[in-house]
Amino acid sequence: MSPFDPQLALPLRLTPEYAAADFIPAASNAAARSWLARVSAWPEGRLVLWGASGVGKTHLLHIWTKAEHGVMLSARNLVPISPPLPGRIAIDALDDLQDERALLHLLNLAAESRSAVLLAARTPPASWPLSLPDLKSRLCATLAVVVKPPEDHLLAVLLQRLLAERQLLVSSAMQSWLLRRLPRTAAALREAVKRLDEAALASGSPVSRTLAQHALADLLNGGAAEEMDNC
Amino acid sequence: MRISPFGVSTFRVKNNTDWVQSSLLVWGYAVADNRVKDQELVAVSEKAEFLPAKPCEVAEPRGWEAPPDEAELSQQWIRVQHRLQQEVGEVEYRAWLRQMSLGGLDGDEITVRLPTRFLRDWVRSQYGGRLTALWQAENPRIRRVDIRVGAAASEELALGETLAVSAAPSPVEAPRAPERIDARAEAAGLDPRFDFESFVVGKPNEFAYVCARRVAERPAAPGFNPLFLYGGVGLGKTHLMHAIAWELIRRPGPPVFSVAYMSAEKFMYRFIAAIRSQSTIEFKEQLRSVDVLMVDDLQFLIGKDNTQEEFFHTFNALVDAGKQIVVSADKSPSDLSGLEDRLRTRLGCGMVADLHATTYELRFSILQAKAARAGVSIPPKVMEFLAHKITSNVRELEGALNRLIAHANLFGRPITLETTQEVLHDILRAHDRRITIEEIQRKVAEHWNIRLTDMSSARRARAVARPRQVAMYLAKQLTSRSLPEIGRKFGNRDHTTVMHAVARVSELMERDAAFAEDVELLRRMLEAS
Repeated sequence: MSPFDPQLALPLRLTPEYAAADFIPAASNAAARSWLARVSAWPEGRLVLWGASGVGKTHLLHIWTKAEHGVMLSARNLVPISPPLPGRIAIDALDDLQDERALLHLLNLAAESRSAVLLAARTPPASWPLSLPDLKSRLCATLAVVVKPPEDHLLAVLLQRLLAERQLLVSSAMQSWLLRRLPRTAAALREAVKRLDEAALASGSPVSRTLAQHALADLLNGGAAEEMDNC
Repeated sequence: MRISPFGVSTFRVKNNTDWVQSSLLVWGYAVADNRVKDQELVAVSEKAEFLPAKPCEVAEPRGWEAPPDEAELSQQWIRVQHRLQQEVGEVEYRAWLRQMSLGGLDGDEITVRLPTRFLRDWVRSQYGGRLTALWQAENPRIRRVDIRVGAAASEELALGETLAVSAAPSPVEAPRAPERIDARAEAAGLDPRFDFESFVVGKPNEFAYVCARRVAERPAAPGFNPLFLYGGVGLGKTHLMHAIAWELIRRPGPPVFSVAYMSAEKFMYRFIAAIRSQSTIEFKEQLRSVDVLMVDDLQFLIGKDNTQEEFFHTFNALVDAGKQIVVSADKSPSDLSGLEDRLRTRLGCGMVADLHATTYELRFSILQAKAARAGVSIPPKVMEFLAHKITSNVRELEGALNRLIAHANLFGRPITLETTQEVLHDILRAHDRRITIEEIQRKVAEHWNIRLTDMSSARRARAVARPRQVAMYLAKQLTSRSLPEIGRKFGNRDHTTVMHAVARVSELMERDAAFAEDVELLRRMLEAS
């Protein structure tokens, strides 16, 4: 390998820990936290958390599942469960739901056994493209709580944390530079940090404005904002 | 109560003359044993951790002679943490530093522990200098701070802390089924709230209600067997079926009827399980021994030919034996294409009653009845609003009301038209529409009666500059666009101009209540449109 070849950046799988202590409380997630702490107040024992990608829904689901000694399932792989239910249940990423009947059946079983069910998705149930009317009406009748887009200081901490996860050293001046120019969503920050990491690794140089302007051109110019909104 | 291996519970009821035995099929799979207790999380106030150290008397550092005792050290540690928190801010402190714990003092070196290597490295590189300086200021004996990996802060505390936020002082529980209910009914999957008394009758459901009443009074009467209830989702089919079961179970005097209620889905699961465990004969016998069999949502048997076949035979055996069958589905028997013809014919040969879509009047009375049952007073304006807006079905209407009540209880806020719109905004706005900068500019320009082009013009007169600033402020609040992009949309202005506008508008809103109200009104109009 000649010294001029770019360093090959291997995808590094980062597995977040989702510890309770790592969750950053803020006004944007206060309503969600209040509801999660009071399962007995959920009408019909059901709750839907919704909000854009990266606002902390999965993290909250992990914390709740742990605190309630529940079980966490993924919507994509949801299959009909035969009773008895394993206790309280959290289902993440309802946007990827494949088997609507399995979910309907699970909700009915949970209602019978009075087990709480916590669901999470990017959009509220009223906008989900469900084909089973029974499921649709149950979910539309469910208490839905929004995790709002992160406020400025939460974005700042999120950026710090994303950078730290990749052990990427970026000056605080550079961080504010990024914060002032990037679309203000968690997903955009995540994408930006990933690209900065790859670019820094490939070029073997630290994160600078030049590098950022190059690697994040579309994000900084608002071109990809529309796209990022939808993820 | 005895639970047989097959899941039939038999209970005896003493009456004046004799022990009368009755039985109820249990399709609930021993759910009673499996119920999870409603444990409340330990609510720990978030602020507890950040209370400033008490201004108590602490002895002057004793110089070099005696090492400070542990109590003194931990007091110093509290102050160090507090100062650090003040310096870096609460959010950052929480993110990185709250898991620090105090090790021991060894000579001139104090140990601070963090639970993971990553956190240790991060704190060492980002805050090491500040920690050392603060410790040195607090205790001249200390020269160095050793940051190490060590025991984490208590996990349990962290859980409670993270989830707990200031809720209303003593929230009343949401309307839910009472915990202590009839074991028979719970085992059979009957909802105790679904009885005839709680069913609100109106024109659209009157006929179905009368039929259900009739069946509950005299099961298996000619002309009412089978009773076939149909209608769209959430209109009360399940409610009426549960009500029939309750009426039969709670009937005063010796129980004479054994009732089995299950969803078609569950019928299928039980049937498949019986085949697997080679106990189909017992399965058939159990089903055929009941007096009233109720199967909910029969449309779920479409495409399940074997289960349909089994149901058909059970159906015939029961009807022939003079037992009552109650079935519900989303369509009338003749419209249930996908079910075998002979089954459809038999299903339609008794009483077929449909539940129509609700009317405004029925929806309004349902809301009134529900609110009265929950013991909550709800302004008539709110009920009118809900009855107008949520027309899909009763389940969603009740769901909306439950949400309002639960929200009012949890946060201790009264139910008003405004909170209603806020709490239910996700269902009131059918499609989750994104607000665009162009829309914001248009609304703001309209509001202050200026030209839309002035949003991007270079004019600096207050009459156009102020609305422009408000539009920038709203663009930051209501969209996730980057600041440079917002600037671009306002005549290629710089992102610092946007930042200035946001700061200016926030400041004005704090000083001028009327102005704040204007901006708030615009925000609501944009969010509601």
